[in-house]
Amino acid sequence: MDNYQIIHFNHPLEVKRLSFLDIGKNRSAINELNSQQDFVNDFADLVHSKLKTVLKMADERKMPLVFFSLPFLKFLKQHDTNLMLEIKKQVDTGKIQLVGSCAYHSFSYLCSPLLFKKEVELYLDGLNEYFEKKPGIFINTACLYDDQVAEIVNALGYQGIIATANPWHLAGKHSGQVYKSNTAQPFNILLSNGDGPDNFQISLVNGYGSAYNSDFIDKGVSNNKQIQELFMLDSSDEHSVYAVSLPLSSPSWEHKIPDYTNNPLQKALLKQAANLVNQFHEKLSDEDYKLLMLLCQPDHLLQINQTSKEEGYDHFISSMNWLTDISLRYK
Amino acid sequence: MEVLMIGPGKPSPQNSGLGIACYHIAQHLAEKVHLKLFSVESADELAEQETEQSRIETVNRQKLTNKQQLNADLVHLSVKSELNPYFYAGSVEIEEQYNDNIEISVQEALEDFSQKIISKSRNLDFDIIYAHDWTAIPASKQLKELSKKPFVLHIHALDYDRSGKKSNSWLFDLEREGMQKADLVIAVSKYHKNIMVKEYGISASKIKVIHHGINELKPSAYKAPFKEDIVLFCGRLSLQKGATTFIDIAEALIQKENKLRFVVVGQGELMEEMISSATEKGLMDKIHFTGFLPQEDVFAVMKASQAMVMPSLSEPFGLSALEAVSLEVPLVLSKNCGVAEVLSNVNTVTTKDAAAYATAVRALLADKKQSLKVAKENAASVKKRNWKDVSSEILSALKQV
Repeated sequence: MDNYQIIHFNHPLEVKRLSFLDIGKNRSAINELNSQQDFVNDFADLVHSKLKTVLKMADERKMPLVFFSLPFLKFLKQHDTNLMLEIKKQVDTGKIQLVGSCAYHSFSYLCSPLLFKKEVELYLDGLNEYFEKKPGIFINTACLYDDQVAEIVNALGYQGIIATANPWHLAGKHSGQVYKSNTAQPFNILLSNGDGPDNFQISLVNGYGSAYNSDFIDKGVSNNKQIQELFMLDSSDEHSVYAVSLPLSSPSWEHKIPDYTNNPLQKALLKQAANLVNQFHEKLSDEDYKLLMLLCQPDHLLQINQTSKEEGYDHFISSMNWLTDISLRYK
Repeated sequence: MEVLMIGPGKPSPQNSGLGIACYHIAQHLAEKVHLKLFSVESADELAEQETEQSRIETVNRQKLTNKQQLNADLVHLSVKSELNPYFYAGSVEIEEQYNDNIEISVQEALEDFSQKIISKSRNLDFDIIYAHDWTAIPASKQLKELSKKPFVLHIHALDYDRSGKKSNSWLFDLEREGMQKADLVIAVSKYHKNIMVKEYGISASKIKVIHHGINELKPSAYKAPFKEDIVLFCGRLSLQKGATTFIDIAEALIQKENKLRFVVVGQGELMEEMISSATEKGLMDKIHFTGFLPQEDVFAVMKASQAMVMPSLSEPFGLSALEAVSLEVPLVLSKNCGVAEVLSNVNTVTTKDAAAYATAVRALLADKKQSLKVAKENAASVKKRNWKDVSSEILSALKQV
């Protein structure tokens, strides 16, 4: 049985509250200090040992597959430069395989494909700065997948994508197979889960700061074959087309997509943010793009829905105030 | 004169206008009488401050606060769930599921609060009971019977206003019984007195109208960053305040005037409904919800607005309209607002007629010079009547009972 696991390391960035009366005052949006402090607080108990496990697996040539979000890398570099250097060394030698995703592990795709594209580009630039490497395989936040995701990721030069299986669509096919995306330029897809008796498994693991159900890193998983090679095993002519018109998320992710989108407040926020991106995408500054991505972080969207009503309203109001603040800069 | 007052000690998001009115009344009454205040608010600081600085004694019921505040909201919601069929689905289900329990819980909290007041009052000397709204009624009735002292009930809002019509709720019965038992009922407007007479069957002869007043407001420094005119809604986001009508008004206005922004100051159970409606209507880039703001910030937003709309279904008085007027903000009011009685020149519109509100707002904005002139006249007029004057009238009424 072939097993792969993709280990996710993220650290959400806290967006400050913005009162209605502070709109237009060019307040800074990101609470870097708090976010950094949260990272430092968690580091010893929750982060360090996980990273050591990954490094040990690399030493043993098990070729772990890892996603590091940009905030995670930034805080890690600030807090433990030596550990960061060790990781970089293993990435350089190919013993840690980087997997691409969204820079802030956000649900920018649920907001706007344009915002998603920007976040994927930002991640490629960021990884280049930290590791001078470009990952070959992409996995979206929560393994969110539809045809347009494939199209965007393909256009950005990735070799393949990990997608969520749609069991009724697959009709017995299992996740070990390579599929073709339903896009103008066919793109190779591997499914992280299937409905057949699989002899192939891609587990999605929460190393830190992600919302995958499992945080167990299986030290026994050894990727003797680089995951990119899987995409090239069969001739592409034989690959079935895998068409998904609405975003599917991984069953391994803690929440379902409607938890992030269906509340009227979430809908309003995502719609308004999308309008902003669509209207001003050519003018938006990097900082404003970043803020829009952070407003789409899973935790942020959940705060609007899952906490008490009053708290949810406060998060929503503040988020909408930020959107107004951004819009005023371009009108 | 020893006055035993039962009512909120200070404003809070839960009691809004009632809290503000009671706070000012208590402050000024205490200068002239010995005032003992029973409050459900968690007013530790206020209690300490006031007992030192004045002759108010605040009997704190901190343990009750959460329950009481929660209940005040839940009663409101449970009434609305029956009356408002388009109320958002999730809440309706929850409210229906817990409706009986909510009612029992409110009644239990009320009974508990009342018994504590009665128990504490045994050793207190007082000449008169001066109570505010329904939470004070059970205790006041019993105290009147026990002490044989007169009971004055100051009504700021009724179940009729909150539910938008005459209901068969126990609250309605409680309010009616309270007004019947009271030796004097103080109404905040003639409009509200009429409701007491017509809907509750209270004798007009025992109702005295005393309008609210206003002290000088101190808005925080604020300059709106928008180029567009601001049309303001300020109040609890509830059926009574016509909160959802405001979204319809915004929609009607935006079809005619694109360069407007709408600001909704306040919080309440209809926020989701309003946001949902504004999103569906494509208005979310024009409408801003501020949530709860400190009073000085509320005044700042008022001052920065070019018009304020109060589309209430039934507004016994409408203190926020008076505040806006004193800040020289042009107003459009529903016909069912008591505050219109103290304004010399004001636009009033039939309740729920969004198009009519929109027309009235457009007219105000189309002739800003004239609107401002009227607003200044109104401001000058309302500033003549402050809370000290109101309290003097109340004291005079208390003495005549």
